[in-house]
Amino acid sequence: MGAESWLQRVDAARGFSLSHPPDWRVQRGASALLLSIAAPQETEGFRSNLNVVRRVRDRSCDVDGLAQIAVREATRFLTDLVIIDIEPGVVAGMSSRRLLFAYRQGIFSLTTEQWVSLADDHAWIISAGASSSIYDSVADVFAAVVASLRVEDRHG
Amino acid sequence: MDESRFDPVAGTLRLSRAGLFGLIRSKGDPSLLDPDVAEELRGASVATAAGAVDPRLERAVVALARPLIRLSLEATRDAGAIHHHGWIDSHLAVVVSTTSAVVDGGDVVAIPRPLWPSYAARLISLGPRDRPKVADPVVLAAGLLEAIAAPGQGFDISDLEALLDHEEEVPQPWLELLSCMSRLPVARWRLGAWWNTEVESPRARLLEVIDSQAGMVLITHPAQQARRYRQIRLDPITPSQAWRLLCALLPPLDEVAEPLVS
Repeated sequence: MGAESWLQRVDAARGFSLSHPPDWRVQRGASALLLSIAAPQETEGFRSNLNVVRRVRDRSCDVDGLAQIAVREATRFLTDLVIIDIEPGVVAGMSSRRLLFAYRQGIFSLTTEQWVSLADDHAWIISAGASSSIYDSVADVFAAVVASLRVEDRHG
Repeated sequence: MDESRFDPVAGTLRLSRAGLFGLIRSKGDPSLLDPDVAEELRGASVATAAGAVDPRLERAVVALARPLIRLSLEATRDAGAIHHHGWIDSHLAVVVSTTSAVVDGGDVVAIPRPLWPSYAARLISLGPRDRPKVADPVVLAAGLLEAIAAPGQGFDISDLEALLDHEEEVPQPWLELLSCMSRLPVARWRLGAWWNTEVESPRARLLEVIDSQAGMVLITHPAQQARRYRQIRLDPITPSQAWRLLCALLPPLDEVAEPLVS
């Protein structure tokens, strides 16, 4: 199914929009969590999902500092963590770092991608997770959803 | 590995070559074990006094004896090569680590099958790396790569140009990358998986990567043309791409037809 058939979700009140596969379930968040989308099927008891979080920016922290915080929190809270990749990029015009890591949940391996991005006033954090056994089949979906994100935050 | 030993408290298992092959061939049935091997396994706490496999090891022996998928992982660094031989069934991945390229005794680890990609990532030290400063793939003689990857060569670009077959054209950015790889510590890992299948899908997959401070390069083997030398293709890859390939290495179990002969 091509991205041209995806649904666009526009949240004008909170200043963002993105597109997602039409069969993915959407839940609107109430505060920092703006939106959560989830695949229709579970694999190994886990449903592939992507969450968009926006927080007020800590001005003492640049995008690399934000990425370091994300790594530190992953190291603290996730079991048998493997940091696979950290790379610079741009998300919705914002300077961004993409983190990729794997960890254990029970007897399963999960893969999480996290994009941390900075606008003038906010930090945007997108986290996408999948069972590692199917990660190769959803990685392009995650990348396309992130590429579709538009934000009205000011950023230079 | 000349001595088997099971330490249930530490959760460690070593199997000698005789012990490993004895368990594979007997499928854990003590009556099918060679008497000397049975004695070794009893002395190593792998088998009980009555000769049966310790109940804590029964599931691992099932995977060893009737694997759905077989694996090999060779990780080479300056210090030498470590070989990991794997047997996977619907529940477990059992991995024997040894310095031998052929199946031999060694340290044995059994993990739930879904954890295999993460375990393999640790074995190959997959992690953040600089990106190779090349964009397109290159095809060159396999022998040249072997020379570059050999420890202590330290080839500069003019050395590499002298080694090139006159038919080969290797772009300057690739020569710079290959020269870097020749001068820096290089790891190389080769992962293979094979299985039986009755559907139209591969029966085996291979993933081979050179991993250096200058970046990671995927090695593939294109259809060979009529040339004097065997050729290989090199593609620059990122750790993220390597992880995707690693996650996709094993087939879904519904594509696997029947256990392999172990």
